[in-house]
Order: sequence, then C-alpha cells, then structure tokens
Amino acid sequence: MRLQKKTFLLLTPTIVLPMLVLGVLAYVQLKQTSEQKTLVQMSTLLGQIQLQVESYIETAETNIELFSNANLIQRYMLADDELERYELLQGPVLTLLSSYQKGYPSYYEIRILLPDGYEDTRSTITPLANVTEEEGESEFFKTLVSEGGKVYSGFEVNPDNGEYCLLIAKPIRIKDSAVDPILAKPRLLGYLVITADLKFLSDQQRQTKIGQRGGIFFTDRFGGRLFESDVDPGEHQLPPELFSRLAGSVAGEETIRANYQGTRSLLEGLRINEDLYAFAVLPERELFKASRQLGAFVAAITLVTTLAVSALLFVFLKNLIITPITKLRHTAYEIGRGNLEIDLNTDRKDEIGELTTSFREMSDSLHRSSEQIRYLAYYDTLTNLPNRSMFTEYLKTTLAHAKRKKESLAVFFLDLDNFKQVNDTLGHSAGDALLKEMAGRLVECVRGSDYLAVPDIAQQTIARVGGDEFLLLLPDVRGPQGAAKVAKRILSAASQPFAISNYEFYVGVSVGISMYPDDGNNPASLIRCADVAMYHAKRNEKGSFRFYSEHMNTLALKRFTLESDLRKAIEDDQLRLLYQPLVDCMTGTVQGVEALVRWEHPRQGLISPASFIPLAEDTGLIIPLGEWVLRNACMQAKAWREKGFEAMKISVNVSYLQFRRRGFAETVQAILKETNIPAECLDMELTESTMMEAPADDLETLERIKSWGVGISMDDFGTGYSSLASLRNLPIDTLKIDRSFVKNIVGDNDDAVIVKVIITMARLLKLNVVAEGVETVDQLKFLQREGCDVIQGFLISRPISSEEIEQFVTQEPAMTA
Amino acid sequence: MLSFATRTLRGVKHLTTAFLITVAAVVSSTSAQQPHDFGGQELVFLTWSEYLDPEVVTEFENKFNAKIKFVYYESDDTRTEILVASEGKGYDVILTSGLDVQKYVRQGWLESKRNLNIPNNRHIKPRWANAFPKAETHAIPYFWGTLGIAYRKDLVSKPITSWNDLLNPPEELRGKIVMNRYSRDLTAAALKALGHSINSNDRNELKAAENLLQAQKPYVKAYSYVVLSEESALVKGDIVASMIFSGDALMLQEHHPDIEYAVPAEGGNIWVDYLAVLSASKKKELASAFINLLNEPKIAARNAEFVYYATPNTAAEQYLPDEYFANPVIYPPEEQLSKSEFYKPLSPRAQKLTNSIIAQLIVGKTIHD
Repeated sequence: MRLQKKTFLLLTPTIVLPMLVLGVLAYVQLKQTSEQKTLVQMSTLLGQIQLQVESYIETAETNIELFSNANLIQRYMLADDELERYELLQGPVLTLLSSYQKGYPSYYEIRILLPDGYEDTRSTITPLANVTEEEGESEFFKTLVSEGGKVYSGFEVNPDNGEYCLLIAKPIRIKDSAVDPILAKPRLLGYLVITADLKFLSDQQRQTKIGQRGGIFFTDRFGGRLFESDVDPGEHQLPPELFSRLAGSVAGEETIRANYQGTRSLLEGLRINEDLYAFAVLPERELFKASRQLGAFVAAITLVTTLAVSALLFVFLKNLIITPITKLRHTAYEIGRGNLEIDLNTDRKDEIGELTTSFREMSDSLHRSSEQIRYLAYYDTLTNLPNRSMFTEYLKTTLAHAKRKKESLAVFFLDLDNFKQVNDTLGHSAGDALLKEMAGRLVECVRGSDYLAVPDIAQQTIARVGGDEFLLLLPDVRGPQGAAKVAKRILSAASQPFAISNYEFYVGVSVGISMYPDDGNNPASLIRCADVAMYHAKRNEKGSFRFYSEHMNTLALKRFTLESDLRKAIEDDQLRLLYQPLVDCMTGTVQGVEALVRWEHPRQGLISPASFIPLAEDTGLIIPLGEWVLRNACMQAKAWREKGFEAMKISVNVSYLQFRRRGFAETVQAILKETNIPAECLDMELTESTMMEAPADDLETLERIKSWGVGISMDDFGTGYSSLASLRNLPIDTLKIDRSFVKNIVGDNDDAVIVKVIITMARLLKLNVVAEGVETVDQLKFLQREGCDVIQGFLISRPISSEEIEQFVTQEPAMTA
Repeated sequence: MLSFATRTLRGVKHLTTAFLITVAAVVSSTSAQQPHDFGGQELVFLTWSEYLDPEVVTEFENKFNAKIKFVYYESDDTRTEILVASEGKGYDVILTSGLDVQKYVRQGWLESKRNLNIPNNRHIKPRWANAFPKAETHAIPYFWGTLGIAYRKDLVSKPITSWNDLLNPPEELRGKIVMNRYSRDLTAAALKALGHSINSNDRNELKAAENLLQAQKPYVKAYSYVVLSEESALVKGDIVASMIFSGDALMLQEHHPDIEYAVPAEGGNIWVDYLAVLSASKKKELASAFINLLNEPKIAARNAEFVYYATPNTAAEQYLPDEYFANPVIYPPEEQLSKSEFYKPLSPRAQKLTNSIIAQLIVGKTIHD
C-alpha cells in the first residue's frame, strides 16, 4: 500500500494546485462580471422606464389632440346658449368622453374647463368625488394659462384622490363660424384636460425585483416617494441629504453607495421629468451575497473536479501498476504456500507483462520439481505403484467413506514366497523384473474384480510397501467370501510361472486379510492385522491366504467346502427332483407337476434349495445345476409318457442367470430333442422380477422358446409391481399368484382384493391363473368363487417323489366345489 | 331584363292596390287630396321599439306603396345623442318626448306643422297637443302615459307602492332592480321620493336626490329598460322590479300574470310622446301621410289596443271598448294624476348638475339587462 499512498501524495498537489488557481481566477472574473451585470441591469431598467414614461406622455398628447378635434366637442364649446349646451349637448359629450375612457382606462378623468377655470364637464371612469369645480386658482391652471396655446403635460397630485397623476391639457381655440373666416381670430373657448393615472409605474415598481430585496422606486422633485411599496414600506419622504446626493448624481449616471432605509445600498437614479425621478436600489450585502454564492459555487466546482480527476487518475494508475503488482505479490505468496498452479495473465506487452511471464516460468518450473518430489514421496519408482504413505492416506479416506456408508472393506498383505532365491540366483535386475511382473498381475486381478473397474483406483488400491511386500485394499467388499474370492484369484495368478531372462520359474504368494469393521477401524491396525494374518498363512501353508480372525477363516472355509460339495453333488448325482401336483381348481383334475430340486448331502442330509441356490447363483454353478434339473425333469416326463401319463405337464424353474446365458434356447431345444417329448409338455417358470428386468433381446429368446409350444409361466406374481401394459407385451401363458397373497385371502381384505384383481386382469389378458401355496379349504373356496383356474399347495399335496405322483394321479381325489 | 320584368310586375300589383284604396278613400270621404303611390320610397322612423302595431305598418306600406325603416333608441338621452351626432339629419319621422320637442325645435331640426299635410290632426285633444312648449306647432301627440314601477307580485312579500321601495330596497329586491337610463326619470324618482317636484332646480334638493340614487346603486342590476317580449328578465324572474312606462307593464302582463304595475303613492311623471318630422327630411309628404294614417280614428284605436297606452285622439275613443277606459293603468284615477307632473325644462345649472349626477351614477354599470 505504500506505493499507493505515494502515488496519491504525488497526484494530489499536481491536480489540486492548478485547479485552485483556475478556481480563484474564475471567481474573480465572474464576480466582476456579475457585479457589472447588476449595475448595467439597473441602468437599463431605468432607461426602459424613462422610455415608457415618454411614450405614455406622447400618447396622451396625441390623444388629447384627437379628442379635442371631435366635432361634438367643438360644437359643445361653441354653444353659447347654456340651454343648448346643458340640455342638448352635454349628455352626448359625456357619452363621448366616457367612450374614450373605455378605450383608455388609464384616463380616469376627462374634463372640460372654461377659460376662467370653471369645471364645465367632467367624466370619470369610476365615481370620484369632485373637490372643486373652480380650478381657476390652482397651480396647474395658472401654468396652463401661462403656457399659452400649447399642449400642457405635467405630474401633479390629484386633489380628488390624493394620487400622483399625469395631467394633459389642451386649450380649445375655435374660429367663430358666424364671423367671416378671413377676419376671425381663433377664440379661446376652454380647455380639455385628461387626468391619467400612473398605475403602470406603480405596477412596475411592484413587479420589478433587483436581486432578492432590491427594486425601483419613484419620487417627485422633492424626494417624496410616489407609490407605496408592500415589500419595502419605509418613510414617505426621502431624507433631503440623500435625495440631493441622488439628484446630483442623475446626470453622471453614476452609482451611489448610501444608506437607504437603514441598509447600506447601491443606488442609481434617473430624472425622467422635472417632477418625476426613478431610482433603482440594491442592498450592498446582496451584491456580496451573489458574489459569495458565486464563490461557493466555484469552490464546489473546483472541489468536485479535483476529486473526480484525482479519482479517475488514481483508478487509472491503480489498474496500470498497482493491481498487477499486487497480483504478482499475491501469486508469490501462493507459491510460498506451495500452491504452484497459478494462472497468470501475460497478455501485457510492457515491463509488467515481462515480469509476469518470468514469474510464470519460475512458477511452472517450481511446480514441475515439486510434482517430482511429490511422486518420489508417494510412489514406488520401480513398479510405479503407490508406496505405504500414499496407501495409508488412501485407506484413511476409504475408511471414512466406509464408516459413513456402513460398508465393510478388506486389506490384503501379500508377501512373495521365493523372492529371496530369485534375487540371489538371478541377480537384482531379475528380482526387479519379477516385482514389476508381479505388480502387473496384481493390478490385473483387482481390475478384473467386481469391485474396481476403474484403473486409477486400482493403482491406488495396490501398493508396494517393502522389498517383496504388497498391500491391497478392497473397498465395499461383501463379507469374507468376497474377499476370499479375490484372494483365490491372486493366489492363482501368482502361481502361474514367471518367465524372466529366459528362465521360467515359480514363486508363490502368501496373503493375509484383515476386515473392517471386525478387525480394526484405523489404517494402522488394519495393516498390522493383515500382516499378522500373512505370517500365519506363510507358516501354515505357503501360497495360501488367511483371515486375521479365525471366525472368518471358518466362514470362508465353509463356503468353499459347500461350493466344492455342490460341484461334486452335480457330478455325483446327489441331487434329486420332487414334484408337486397342479390341479384344476374346480374339478381337482391333475393338470401337471412342478419339478423341485433337492440335495441329499452325504454328511449334512437334505439341504433346502433356499440354502444352496443362492450359492449356486454366486458361483455360477447355477448353470450346470439348472441344466441338470431341466434334463432330468424332461427325462421324467418322458418316463411318465411311456407309462401312460400323457397329459402330465412338467414345470421347471429357470433362474435369471440361466435364462440370460447365451445359448439357453439351444440347450432347451437339445434337451427336448434328447428326451423326445413334445414341447407342450414342458412349462418354464420365470419369476416376475426376472422378466421385468430382462432386456428386449432375452425376451426374444423367450418368444422363440414359446413359439415351439413350451409354456411360459410368470412365477411369484404380485411381488414385482408389473403393470398391465407390460404384462400384455410379455410372451406368457400363465400367472402364478405368489403364495404370500394366497395365504391371507380369507382374512385380509387387501390381499383378497389384489387376488380378485389379478384373476380379473388375467382373464382379460386370456392368461391362466395358478394360485400357489393353497393350504386351507376356505382358501380353495375363495379361489373357486373368484374363478381361479389351477391350484397348487399343501392342501392338495406337498412335493413328492415321481412314484408318489404316479399314485396320486391314479387316486385322483374328487374335489368339491 | 330580369330586373325590368320584376319592376313591371310589382308596379302592376301596386297600381291595383292603390286603386282599391282610392275607392275606399272616396267612399269614406275622410281623406284630403293626397298622393297614394310613393313608388316604394323608404321612410326612416326613429322610435322606441314595440311601440307600433305591425299590422298598421303593413297597412301603411300597402296603402302608400312605401317602406318603413325603423331605427330604435333605448332612452330619451340616446335619441338626443343620435340626433346630435347626425345634426338632425338622416331620419324622416321621429318619436320624441314632449320635453325634447322644444330643444329640437331650437336646433331647427323639426319641421313646422304648417308645412305638413296632416288633416287628422283635428282629432287630437288640445290638452295633449299643447302640453309642452313648441309641441303644438311642431309635433303631434302619439300616446300619453305614466312612469311607474312594474314588479312581480309573486316574488315580493308586500306590494310595492312607493319610489322608496325601489330606492331603499328590502333584501328581496336587492340586485333585482332595473332603473331607467334617462337622467330626468332617475332624478324624478329620487326627487319624488324625497317629496320634491320632479322639476326642482334647487341644488340642495338635487344633491339629496343624488345621494339617494348613489345609495341605491349597489342594488341596481342595470340602468336600462326591460325588454317587452317573453324573454324579458322580469318575466323570467331574474328581475323583480323595474321602472317602467304604464302600457309596457300591461304588455308584459300578457307574458306573465303576476306582473303588477304601480304608480307610486308620491306620484310620478306624466309623459306625452309626440311624432315629429325632421326639417331635413326629403320625404315630408310620405311622412305626413304616415302621421295622418296613424291618426285615422280606427287605426289609432287599434294601435292603442296594441300598445296599451291612452290615445290623445278623441275620434278614436269611440272605437275602443269600455273596459279599456276602465283600466286604471291606462287611465289612472284623477288623484294619481294630480300628484304627477309633466317634465319641464331645468335651469342650465340644474341641468348641468343633473347631467353630472347621472354621469357619475351610471359609470361602470351595465347598460342592458
């Protein structure tokens, strides 16, 4: 920030000083102009008023000429006969004068005076009391007489209303037409006198404002103010001293500074007429006030401009220098903190741009070497596998994840069995090659597993932690069995011969396994447990694996035993088929049988399918098992046909894996051919979920099989949420209602409704309905009532041997509806 | 060609009319030797409006093949102004108040009856013929009547009986009064209200009258004369009371039955209107024929019934119904007449004062109602 401060301190005086000087100069200039303007305004105003007054007088003088020349006026003046004058003519004369006044409302009084000053006729625009009819003695009349024949104009106080007015008078001289015009001399018959108000001046005084409190006013020749002012009442009479000063100044058109109405003021006067003076006045403080305002204004402008220019320059400089420098500084800080991946803009072509570029190169090279260091710290350079630290880190994260998700995971500790001999006999390079090869095989094993398809993760989950020791992590593993499966795969991979330096030799690997959460909940304890388990394995039998906990060893062992037993069972014919009859719901006639597999274990006795079918599915043994069932069922069907039970249809359960396996249809075809039974004798049961999950290709397989005449049943119907629309598109003949629904149809209304609906729906789709697990007569009655086609269950018979079936069919008990 | 044909046709028609009238005249044997066809000449008549039965006009125009052009004035003062402006020229026949006859004669504006041929002048009652100076020699009376007050009796709480009721108006009349614009009528009302003669020359009496009129001024709607048609403000009720000439009040009564006429208890002015021929007229024969026709007894009677004024023509009276004479508005009872006066000329100074009083009074007031 210091550079910023310096920049600011440098900029401020360079901008402020010139601006201040400019401001002061502008102020002085503007102040003078403004004052001069005010003075000019004052004298212009007075000049205009003078012109107005002159024009007013001139108009009145012209008008009085016109008025007095009117025929009626002339006749009136000539009428010597008083009767004629007052009875006949005065009325029309008054009307005429009144009409003049309508045109000139400021002529509020027009009079006709006789030569002796007697007021003969008087017309006023509004009622106005007349002080006297005898004007002979008035100053005005005396002046008028002395003026002779000319038009007289002058300012006077009108005694009728006390107001200052303009009097215009014209003598009326007419030659008497009775006398010979050549000899006749014009005779003075009287005067026409107009009294004009000075309203235009009082209006002017009221309306004119100079500044806030200044204005104009008028005086008579003695300094008496003529019109009252609302704004500025004051004394009627100006102080004589002031007036004489003002009157004296009039000629020179100079401005006087004097006390006016108790205020120091600027005054300028103009003598419009000897009886009329006009003055313009402006309090001095207002002139200064204007200047002060001007000063404040200029100061404000200077300040604002200074601030604006400073701000602009500052922003500009900041963008140009300070911001990039700050950014570089920030970048350096980030690099210092170890964050080397910095995005720096190097578009600029100036020195700062170059600096940025150098900065960036430095940062990039730092980044590269730090990556290298990081690699060395976390990876084994020989195999390119992570080392122990990285593995531990990764295990830590994965553990946290597993804890959250409540998953289990397995840690493998591997140790090569004969590595030392290889190293000793073939040299270190061969040993290194062996390790590399081993690492590759391990990666392959893990990659091939169900859990880790992503190579990146595979690499992170295998680490080389010592000369010939490896660690392996299996996240989200399915129990000891899952782990054992991978372990076997590794043992198998490691048992293959290695070909190095033209030698072929065998090394084995011993594996120790620890499980989360059973064996520990932190990386260190899990690795240690796996290590311990590995030693156990090595001591026990080289080339084997062992779990850390005995219990898990047992579980894994049991499963492996069962698996090999099942394999053996298929080969050794320990399996057997039982059959459960399917009978017509109404008549009880046997419609067919469902073939069910049983395992008679030589040591463990009869094992239920629920125990070994999942194992068979897990290990893939379901394929040979399924084929076995299908073949044997078909063979039985053939046997029955040969014995005369021709109508006996045989149902076989087909598992998902079996059905989906390539060549399934061909297998079925082959068996049908082998046993030589009609396809119609065979019915295949697939569960609802199997069918729903089947892709379109597999449904086509099913379609094909069905086209031969093989029946297709949907087993366990009602558990898979099939929609009506999807049922319509499936190649099936029969719906088998799941036993769970049948169980409750008598007591539970919901299930009864579901079964009713299923039956109705099946009928709509022209499908057969089989109810499984029928155990009571009430259930039977319900199903009969609802129109179910076929039933199966303990009520009829449990699964029985083929011989017993033969008996059952022969007995065939009659069923009551 | 077209204009010629038209003139010829009209000529034929007029000849026929003239012939018929001639026959009638011969039969009635009242007419003196007078030409009966004036070839469409135009007689300019300066008069009050609505003061002549239009049928009579038609009859005259048909009878003498002439036209009458009417020029109306609205007050006696206006008439004088008109004549002063035209110096007594431009009109053939004028209708004037009795008082002004002498003024106009003095100006030489009126033709002497000696030079006019008006045989029916003989039917005029002498009382009216010489009621004003110079009237007998230069003018023929037309009608006479009184100056009083017309008011809406349905709009006042008590009947109006005095000039004071107008000059000191009660609340209900304020702003709803019309006063004549004629100077003498105005001073007459005030002078009568103060108990003086309408012809007072006394400066103080006139000044008192002025004060009274000035005091009334704020309550006066206009100094003018009401219109006599249905559109009159008095008929509509915008005006409640107005100075009026007797017959005009009866004319207005036809439009509204609640209009009442009162000659104030103090008395008022009896006026006589005269017909006169201007000496500057070039159509004195036609003018004579016109005035003569108006004084044909039957025509005079018909005209009187139209205007509701008392006729000075004695021969006409026989053609008027009895109830006409019984109407106190037209023929006021003698005690009313006795308190009322004719206008007489004022002294020059009094006249001047009156002029000035009225000039000050009507300043700034609307002329028309």
